[in-house]
Amino acid sequence: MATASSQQFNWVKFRKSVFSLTTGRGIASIIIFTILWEICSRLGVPIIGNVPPPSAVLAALGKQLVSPAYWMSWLDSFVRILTGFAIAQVLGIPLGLLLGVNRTARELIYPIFEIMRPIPPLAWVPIAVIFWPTTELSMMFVTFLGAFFTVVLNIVGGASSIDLRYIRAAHSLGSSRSDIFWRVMLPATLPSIVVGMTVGMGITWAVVVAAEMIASRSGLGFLTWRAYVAGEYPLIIIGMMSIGIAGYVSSALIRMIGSRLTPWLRTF
Amino acid sequence: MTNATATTAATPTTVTAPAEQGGALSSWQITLFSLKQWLKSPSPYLNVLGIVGFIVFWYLATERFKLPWFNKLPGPVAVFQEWVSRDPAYGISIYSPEYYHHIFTSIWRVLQAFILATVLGVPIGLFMGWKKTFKDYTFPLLETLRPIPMLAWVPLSILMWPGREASIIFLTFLGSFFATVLNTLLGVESIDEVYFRAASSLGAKPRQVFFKVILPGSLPFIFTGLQISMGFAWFSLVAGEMLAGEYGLGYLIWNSFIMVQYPVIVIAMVTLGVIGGFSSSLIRMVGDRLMQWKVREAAR
Amino acid sequence: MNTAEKIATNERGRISIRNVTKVYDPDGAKVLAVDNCSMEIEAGEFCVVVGPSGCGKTTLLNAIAGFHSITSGEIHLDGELLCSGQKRTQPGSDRIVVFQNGALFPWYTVLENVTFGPVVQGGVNEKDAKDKARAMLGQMGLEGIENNYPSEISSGMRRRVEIARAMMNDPSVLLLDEPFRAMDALTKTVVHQFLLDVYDKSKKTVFFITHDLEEAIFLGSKVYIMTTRPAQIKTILNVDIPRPRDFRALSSATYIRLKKECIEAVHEEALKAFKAGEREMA
Repeated sequence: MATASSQQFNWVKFRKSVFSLTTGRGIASIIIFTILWEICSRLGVPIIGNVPPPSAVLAALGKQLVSPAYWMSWLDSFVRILTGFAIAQVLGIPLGLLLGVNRTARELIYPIFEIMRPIPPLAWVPIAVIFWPTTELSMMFVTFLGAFFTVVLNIVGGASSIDLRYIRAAHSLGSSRSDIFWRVMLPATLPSIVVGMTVGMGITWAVVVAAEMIASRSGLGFLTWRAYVAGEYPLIIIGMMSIGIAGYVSSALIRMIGSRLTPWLRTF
Repeated sequence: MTNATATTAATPTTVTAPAEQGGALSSWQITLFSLKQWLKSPSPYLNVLGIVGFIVFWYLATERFKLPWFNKLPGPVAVFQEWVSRDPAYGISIYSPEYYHHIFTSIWRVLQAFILATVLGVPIGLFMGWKKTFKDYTFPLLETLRPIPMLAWVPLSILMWPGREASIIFLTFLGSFFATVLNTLLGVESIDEVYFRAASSLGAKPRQVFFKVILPGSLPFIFTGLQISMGFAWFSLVAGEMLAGEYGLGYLIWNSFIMVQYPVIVIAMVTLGVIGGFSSSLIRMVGDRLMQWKVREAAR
Repeated sequence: MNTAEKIATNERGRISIRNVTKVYDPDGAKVLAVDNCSMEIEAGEFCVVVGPSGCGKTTLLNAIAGFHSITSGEIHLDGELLCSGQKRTQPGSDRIVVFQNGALFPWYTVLENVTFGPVVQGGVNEKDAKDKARAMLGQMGLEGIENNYPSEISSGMRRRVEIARAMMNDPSVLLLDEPFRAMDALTKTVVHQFLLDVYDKSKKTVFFITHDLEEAIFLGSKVYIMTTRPAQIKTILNVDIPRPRDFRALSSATYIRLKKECIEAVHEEALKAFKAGEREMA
């Protein structure tokens, strides 16, 4: 949570939140979970026993952290995410706004979205591979799709639920049509754009990972899948953890940008 | 709905639906009325035009003009012919039992996973919202696991569970479970403090607060969560079936891709979309049934 | 207090607030909300507490209701210790609160809301409770809406149903926390009359909080004017307008005299509050 407040840092509040019972319990539960996992894994408890123990994961981690191949996987995944996500924003935001503002356009195009939406993005993988000349492009396309629908649907929802009073107020203050778009519609829709971006980022990671497992030769998803195929089981956990961290970092980044874009929503 | 304006002269009601003057009006009358209004507006015609336009574009690009890149994709005519053929070239059409086998395998997997996720997720979420201590212990664990997309679990779940069936269901379950728990928790936390105060002021005991305030109060969020979780369930099911399935629509898509039976891919995709859309509207309907107070609010 | 009122008074619902102090301590910043406040409220008294927004009057109500603890002092109900600096009371159906923005459960119908108290307290079967509730709603002029959800009835109606819900439990004290705050003037006159009728019939002790002076004088038997935070009693007004009252009381000479006294007392406090840069919070 980045609340870049210019106010004085409240030490009492900070200390209270860091040394609270809640934090203690949280840490305790994660520690207990890890210990239980280790024990179950060693004892060979059914199902959970098949998961490599944390100690083995830790041992394998050292090797990965110095391996350039591991970091290349990060890079590959990030490049896919960034391109797919960026294109989804560039195309999705204007389209969403258009559909939100223009009733005719909405009624013409929105049903297509409604029909496409329930098709899981991964079902597009084969079609994408057939359509695009390279695997890389099809990866990006599927990534793009995952974020695109979410972005558009969120913006349309946001734009069509703008309080009519704002538009009336702007009219009575003498705004032109373009003023209303740029100074009322756009800022009023910004929060839903941000929500769409945040949710879209989550979906994007899920899609990329699966798409990499299914149809690629690189990236964190592939790393995890290969670890399974090659029998290097601790590496599966490392792959999952890396994906989790990467996903978390990108979501945090989006949230940060989001709170920059919508300072009026910030809560201190 | 009875008209209740007799005692409050000060608050006139707005007249929106015709039956408002007539006194009682049933829910299907409202539906009928709004349907008539809808048919009078240009929207249904524009809606149809949009969809037809999309299909025509698809047809022109793939089958008529055979544009580069598009020419490799199956066109709508080929797909439709295959779909309704009594003797399908690739073995999948509405007349082949194979098709329904795939459909029911997928539905059955989603159903098992979804029910499991709901039965576990809703009580856990409610309990987390009810007892702070429980939340303190469980929430951080949930938050640690949540950023890992459910599809990253594919290899691990295959490794963990004996047999494909169990691992696919586990995967599907995971996707639903997190969404259900988090939305339920959010639902409990969204209940205004004032309702808890009112209940305790009226003499409700903690157990009654749980069943009479927490449960109904969080119902709207629970159902939003269930809809999202149904979406996630299909999402992860497809991935699981693509990577590890035998039968199921995801498997059908991937298998048809490998066997170069392209029209079948589209048939399976459309089927997935229809069933997915249908399942989420089913949840909405159940939700409306359970939350009459929301429905009536919206009908006004 | 006039003699007619004294006779009708029943024995339940005597509140005595003795030297109550409440200090809020969020994040180490000590805020004195109520400072050494004492009040004696007779059984069956319609007591109105007036003060500027955020002056700590809601804190006092919350302490009686059992939603908050107090830092020091004691509150007794009918001679029994309710809460003190050491002891916090639990909310209970002997002191029912009607909330500022309303708290009818949106997921229950009017009838289910009104029977909520008896049903959760147990001891009655649901049918009896429903019959009683119907009879009560009928007496109060609220028939015909039993099966509506709160979102389907007007705000004035909702507020009356909420008062009916409270009265169903036969409480010792009725605690009202600025219940008619966001209401238009017309609706307000209707609910005022409603509350007065309920009071005249039941003679319950009423503890009513408001920042509206006219409402305070029109409804109350005694008006306690509070100072800006920390809350203390500044003046007590005895409102000797005879009951039953109706809108005609609003133009009586007594009313106008009392209002004048009141305005002078409160205006000074309001200015103080404004100058102190208090944000609207109550």
